[in-house]
Parts: sequence; C-alpha cells; structure tokens
Amino acid sequence: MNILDERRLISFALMLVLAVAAPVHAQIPESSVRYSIEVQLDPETRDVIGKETIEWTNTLADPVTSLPMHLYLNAFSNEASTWFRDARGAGLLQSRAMKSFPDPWGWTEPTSILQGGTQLSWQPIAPDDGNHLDRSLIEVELAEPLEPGATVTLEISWDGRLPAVAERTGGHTDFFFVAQWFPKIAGVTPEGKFNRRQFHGLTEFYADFADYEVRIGVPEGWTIAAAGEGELADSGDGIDWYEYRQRGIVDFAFSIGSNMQSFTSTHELATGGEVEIQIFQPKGFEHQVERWVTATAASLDVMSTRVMPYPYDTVTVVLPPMAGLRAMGMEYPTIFTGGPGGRIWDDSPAATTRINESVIAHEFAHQYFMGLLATNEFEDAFMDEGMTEYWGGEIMEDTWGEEAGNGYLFGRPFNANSTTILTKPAQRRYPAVWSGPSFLARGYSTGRQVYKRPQTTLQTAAKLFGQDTVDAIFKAYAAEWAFRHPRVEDFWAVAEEVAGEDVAAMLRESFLQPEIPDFKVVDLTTKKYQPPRGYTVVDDEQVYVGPERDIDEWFGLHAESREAEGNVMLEVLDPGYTREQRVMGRIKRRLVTPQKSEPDADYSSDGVTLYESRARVEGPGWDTLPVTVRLRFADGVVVDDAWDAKSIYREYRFLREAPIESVLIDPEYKIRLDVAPLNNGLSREPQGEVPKSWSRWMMGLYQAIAEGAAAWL
Amino acid sequence: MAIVELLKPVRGTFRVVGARWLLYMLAMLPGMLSLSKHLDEAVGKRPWFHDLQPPLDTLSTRFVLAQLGDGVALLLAGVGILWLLQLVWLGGSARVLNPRTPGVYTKVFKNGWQYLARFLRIAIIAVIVTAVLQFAISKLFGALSARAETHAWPFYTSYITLNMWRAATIFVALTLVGVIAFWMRMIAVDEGRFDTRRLPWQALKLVRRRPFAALLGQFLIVCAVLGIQAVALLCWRQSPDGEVWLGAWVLLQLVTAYVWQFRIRTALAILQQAR
Repeated sequence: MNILDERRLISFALMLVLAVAAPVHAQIPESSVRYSIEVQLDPETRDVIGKETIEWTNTLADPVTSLPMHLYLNAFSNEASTWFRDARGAGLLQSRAMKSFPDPWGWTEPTSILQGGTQLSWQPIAPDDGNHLDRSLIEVELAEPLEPGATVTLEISWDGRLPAVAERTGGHTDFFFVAQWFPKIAGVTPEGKFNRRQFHGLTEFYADFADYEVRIGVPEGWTIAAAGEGELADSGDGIDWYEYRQRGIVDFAFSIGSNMQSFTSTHELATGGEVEIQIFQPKGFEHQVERWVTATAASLDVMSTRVMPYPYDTVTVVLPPMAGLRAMGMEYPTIFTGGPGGRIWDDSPAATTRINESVIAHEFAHQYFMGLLATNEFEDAFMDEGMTEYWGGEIMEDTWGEEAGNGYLFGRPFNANSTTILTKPAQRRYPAVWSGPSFLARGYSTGRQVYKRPQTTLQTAAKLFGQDTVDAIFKAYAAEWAFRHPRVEDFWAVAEEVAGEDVAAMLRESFLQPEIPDFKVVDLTTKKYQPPRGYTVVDDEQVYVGPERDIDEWFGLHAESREAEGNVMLEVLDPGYTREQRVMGRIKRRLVTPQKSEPDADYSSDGVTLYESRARVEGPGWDTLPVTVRLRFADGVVVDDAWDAKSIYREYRFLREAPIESVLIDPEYKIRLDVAPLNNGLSREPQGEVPKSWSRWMMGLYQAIAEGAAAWL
Repeated sequence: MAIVELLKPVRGTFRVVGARWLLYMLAMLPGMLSLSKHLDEAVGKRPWFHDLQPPLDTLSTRFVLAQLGDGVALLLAGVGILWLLQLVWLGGSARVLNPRTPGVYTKVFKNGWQYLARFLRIAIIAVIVTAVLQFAISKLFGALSARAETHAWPFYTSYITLNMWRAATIFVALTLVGVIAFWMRMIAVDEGRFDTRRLPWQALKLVRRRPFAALLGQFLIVCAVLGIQAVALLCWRQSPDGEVWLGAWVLLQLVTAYVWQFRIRTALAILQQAR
C-alpha cells in the first residue's frame, strides 16, 4: 500500500466516521451576517415597506470599501430589466394577465442607508450585461473601509411594491408569496469575491448564510407562513404583527393569504429529533393535508437518512391559490411552494397521480442543494437543480417504489424516472453542463442540461458503481460542505476521496462532455454463407472454387465455426480512438462461451446451412461509459460482449448455423445518461404486437377523423 | 313521418349504407398498409417495444406515436379523399333516397358527382364561419382566463373548468356549423339548386322554424355518433382484446353508415313537411 492509498483510506474512514457520527440534528454554525427586519405588506396597494438592520462581518482577505446589495424586486420594475430581457420575462410580458393589471409592476428603492448615523450613497450597477435600465443590483459606498474580520452595521429603510403577476414573488387580491423582497448584501464566493450578479430569468440565487429576525405586519385576520419559527407577537390598528427567526439560512421568504389555512404537525425524523411540518393552503381542503404531510415527512426521512440529517426545526409547504400560481414550485430555506392548492387534487385524473408529491419531493430536496450545500446557481445551476432532480426521484422511489413513482394516470403506472427518457436522441450539439455562468445558457435545452443530465449522470453512476457508493459520496459531500459554498470541483474531489478515481472520472466526464451520449444499433444483417470464389489453398493444394462449390457449405471455414465444444467464434472490429495519444484499432477473433436461451419457435437447423451475420453498434466514444452488447441468435445462443465504448463504433461478424436475431446495447439499461434508449436495440425481423395493433387502430382513428370532418364541414 | 318508419330500410338503403361502409374501409387501406410497414421497421424491430401489451401507459403511447412517421401522411391523404368521396356519396344518396327526385338507385355515384362543386362551396362557407367562430371563442376565453387570474378565481375553475368549457364550446360550434352545412346540402339536392348564395338563409330559416327536429335532433345524432366512436377508440386502444375491438369497430362503422342514411332520410322528410 503506498502513501497515496493510505491517505485515501484514512480520508475515507474519516468521511465515514463523519457521516455515521453526524448528530441527529446537524449543528448550525455561526453566521457572518445578521438581519433584523421589520416589514409591512398592504394587500390593497401591494406595497411592501420596511426597515432593517444588517450586521455584516468582512470574511474577505482585503478591506472592503463598498458593499454590493440586491434589490431584486426591481427585476419586475420595467420590461427592459435584465430579468425581463431573458426568455422567462419575455413570455410573461405576452400574458393576458400581465396586460390586464393596470399596474402589474414591482419595485424597491432604499430611502435611507445609514452606517453609524452617516448617510451612505449608492448607485445601481450592472456588471453582467451593462443594462442601465436594470436596478436589481446596487453598490453601497461605506463611510470608511472595513478591515477583514471587522463588522459593519447598516440601517436601511426602503419602499417597495410586489409585482401583481407573481412570477417567483408577488401576488394580488387574497394571496402573496413574498420572496427577494428586502435589500440584501451579495454573498461572498469561495474564491473570496463578492457575487455581484443581477437578477436573471434563467437562474436563481446565491447568498451567504445569515441569521434572520423578521417582524411582519399583515392585515388583521390574514394567515401567514414564513421561514423558520414564529408566532403572533401583537396586534393593533388592524395589523397583526408576527415575529419569525431562523439561524443559518441563505434567504428569507414568507407568504400571506386571506383565504389560506395553516396545518401544523410534528414529524419524528428517521435519524432522530423532531421537525414541525406546516402546510399552508387554500381553505376547504383539509382532507388533502395528510397527503402533503406524508410527502414532506418522506422527503425529510429520505434526505436525512441518505444525505444528512435535516438541521432546522421547521419546514413549510405553501400550495398557492390562483393569485400566486406563478410562484409555485419554488424553493426557499425552510419554506417552499408546491403545486397549486385546491380541488385539482381531488378530481380525476390528477387525483390518482403523485405529481404534487413529486413537486414537494423536488422542492424539499432543494433544502439541501442550494439550501445547505449552497452552490452558486448563477454560475453552476446544474449543481442544485440537477442534484435536486436526482434526489427528488430518489425520494419518490424510496417512498412509493419505482413502478408507481408518480402514481397512476388513466389506470397505468406513471413512472417518475422514466419521464427522463426521450423518444429521439438529442439532435443538437449542446454546450457542456460545466460552462458558465448558467444565465448565459441560451438557445438550447436548459432544462435537459441543468435538470435531467445531472440527474441521469448520478443514476448512471449508481447503476455502474452501486447505489451505496453514490450515497456515500453524498454523505461525505454534505458532511464536508454543508453551510458552505461548494463548486463542482469540490464534489469531484469528494467523489474521488470516497469512491476512487474511476467514479470521479465518470462524473467528471459526464459533466464536461458537450454532447448527451447516445448508444445505438445502426445495422444488423444476415445472409447464407457461400464458399469464397477464386483460388485458395487447402491441404497444401491450390483449389479453384467456382459455383460448383456452393453446395460445400463448410468449405474455407475455420474449424471453430463448427462449434464442436459449444464455443462461438466472435469477430470484433474496433476502430480504436484518439485522446492525447492514438490507440490503434484492430480486428480481434476469439472464442467465447455463450449463454443459452429458448430458440425461436420457427428455428430449425439442417446442420449444413451457415449464416454470415453482421452487426454495427455506435456510441459517444467516451472514456467512462462501458456497456455490454448482447447478441442473440435464432437458436437461442446469446453472446455478451463487454465493450469499453471508447471508440465511436464497433462491428461484429459471425459465421454460425443460426442467423443473428437481435442486438441490444446495455440490456440492463445502466447508462441512464443515454436518454434515448429506444435505438439501443435492433432485431432482424419485426416482433411483438405493437406494429399490427397500432396500424389497425390508427386506421380507426383516421376513420373517426374523417367522420368528424364529414360532420363538421 | 314517424321516426320508426324512417329507421326501416327502404329501396336503396342497403346499397347506400353498404357502399359508404366499404368506402370508409377501402379509403384507409393504403395508409394502413404503409403505416404497418413503417411501424414494422421503426417499432417492430426495436426490442424496446417487443413486450408492450395494451393497455399502454402514457409514456409508451407517446413513444409509439413518435415513431409513426410517413404513414401518417398517407392516412391523412386518405382522410381527405374519403371526405371528398363521402360528399359525392351524400349527394347521390340524398337524390336516390328522396322520393321527389327518384334516381336510379344503382347510380348513386353518378348522381352524386353533379353536386360536388356546390357541396365544396358549402364547405368553404362552413370553414369561413368556423374560423370566425373560433376567433370569437378564442377571444372570449382568453378574456375569461385573464379575468380568472386578475380576480383570483380558484385554480380548478381557472384551468380545468374553463378549459373544459372552451373545448365544449368549440365542439358545439363546430357541430352546429356542420348541421347547418348539412341542411344546405340537403336543400340543394331537394330543390336542385345550383346557386349556393341563398342556401345559408334557407337553412337558417328551416332550423328556426323546426328547431327541435332540424337543429337539436341532427345535433344530437352527430354528438352521439362522434361520442360513441371516441369511446370505442379509447376502449380499443387500451383493451388487451384488440381483435375483438377491431371486429366491433368494423361493425360500428356499419351502424354509423346506417345512422348516416337515417339522417338523410329524416332531413328529406323534414324538408317535405316544411314545404
């Protein structure tokens, strides 16, 4: 054992100890930022007016002379903001609802920023795109430089208004989801710089862990849900004042409604300790609460058991009504929105699905991926959405089993994970997942790259290296990086420490390769063997082979073709590949011991006729996606070839008494990254009932269309 | 004339019904054969599909639909041809089954060709009216959707109920236009009119005078025929007994052809009474 191996072993043991010995409720470390906020929301005007005291400690290596600060409500202040210029905002501008409100816009402006009684100056900055009409980021000049380790206290007052069309934040009439609503100091990156980012449409947020004390004034009688723990503090002048507090979170959001109802229950975590689950949903649907509590509790248990014990005492699920519908499916620390609340989940077909449960599972998984492992979503969106998508799927599978992962739709299983499968391979060349910043990722399928590709990468890793290996990586990753800001390199480093170079290399390649891989069988042929015409030497004698030799089916063949001992001669053409060095290809012939399965019903051998069968398979040419290629013959013989798949194709040739019937790449479908597995197999003859039954049924469908055309025109 | 009388076959009924049924079967044959061949290659040779058995889940259904390919174009062409042929057959059948215009019942097609140009003009009118109605419906429900959001209607009302009403309104509008177009054609045959300009007003006048028989009755028949076909298709697709449903479907086409003949005779009877 060399010293490197020893280090790895010690490190692995340390990780395991950390993972196993993690406390039932993970400890929340001290934060370098504290917010004390008082805010009042007027539902009539949507005004959100407040004041805050921020204590910020300089954790950078150098003195700080100015502080970048988010004014994210300004993303909704005009149609030229950076958020609206992104694709997401453009769609919203077209909506009738946006046009129907006389003043749908949201905005915020500080009225005063004081440092020790001194009024500070500030100005908007747009480092991402130079957009002078975007005021989602400002730079506040400090009265004097702040040395490393020193703390500054700012007192800020502001006016603001929520947007009416509640994209991520806002609302109207009877419901508001309030996020990105207060002036907030930009987070510090692991590289020791401020994360000076404007509010973008395609990506979400990044901030330092902070401690929050928030006093919220809402109209008397309205109900509230918010991050952390809180209670009604006092009432007066038609206002109910609630006070909430939470340590160690990266953001604070809340929700209020006049027709909403709160349900609270206590869940005992599988890892020990208790968490209070709050469901905040429209009145009149108490009978649904148990479903949402079950989904939240299951999410808590799966994530606590397999990643890290949930460190907070509360989690709140908001199921928004119509006025907040566009805020659904969004995650904030200890509070998130699920699907729409109300009758939809009582009636068929939605009632039989677990779509809302899967939204809850996904949004809960975000409590870990960006909530606790606070990656920078501006730059590495795939780090939180992709891992969340993976763990959301795991929660569904662990809780409800693979077959019924998403419940039932029209009486058939509606599998959550199989929805990652595409009918066609990805046609375009996509940018790498690991290109950044993520908000510049336009003009290609962001959803596929940011959500599904990381999810299927991790599923593939679990299939290739074992679920326990992947779980161990995540446990170690969480143990080392919770309440910090990891980058993808940190995840790879943990993977290498815990599971070794092979696993890390696979993850690295899967994130770095530009294309989504696609294995496929492109050709499969068979024909009767015929002795080769011309002159050949047999038993030291030159023999002329003409048509008269056609009856001598075995002439010119290797003796192995007779398969006297049951072994099959496998001839493989592999073209080689080039990385930093060239690896030359070659044609290899070797005897393999096949498996046996049932012969085809119509197969018979005359013991004389031979078939020359050929197949060609193609792959992405990656280094770390080895697959099995399964070749099946009419006599039931099955040959499995282990292909390292480093070359971009491989060809097979057989001379056997039985013709080849089918070729199947990756028969156990381990390579979940190959999201188009339909082309992974090819058979020589059509099989199954689907073609016949579908062509007949399509005839019926079109007759019905013709009947409709006759009736309507 | 009593409905019972109209349900009984008359001279020419079986020829009209049988030929229409045959028309529907044959017109789809090239498309079906082409689709079958295409599916053999795209689906039958892909092991992913080999073990699929009805009832299919949504994912498999989506996959198969994605593989349909070029065969669909031929089937759509079949729909177009079938629509044209049934127009010819409608004119011929209306003439043959009309006691006022006795045709030689063996020459339905020959009788029908003379009405094709008129019937196509009527179809163009129907398309224009349908487009106008669709535009109005789209505007109406767009405004309602916006109102649903700005006035915070419940989610279920805003998305489910409203969309169901939108679909139902579109269906009713389409069917009503279809019924009026049907009456225009029947009047054209009954009165031997070449000019189609006055036909819409004559048809509207008729349905105003006989709203139950001329409008509601025809509307309900069309709804029943299309509704039963939709249900049968769904059952066929999701049933493991494909062969049984294939037989049932063929039989249903025959029944549909008989109902179609009944519609024509009912219409002719109403026109006779209206004179």
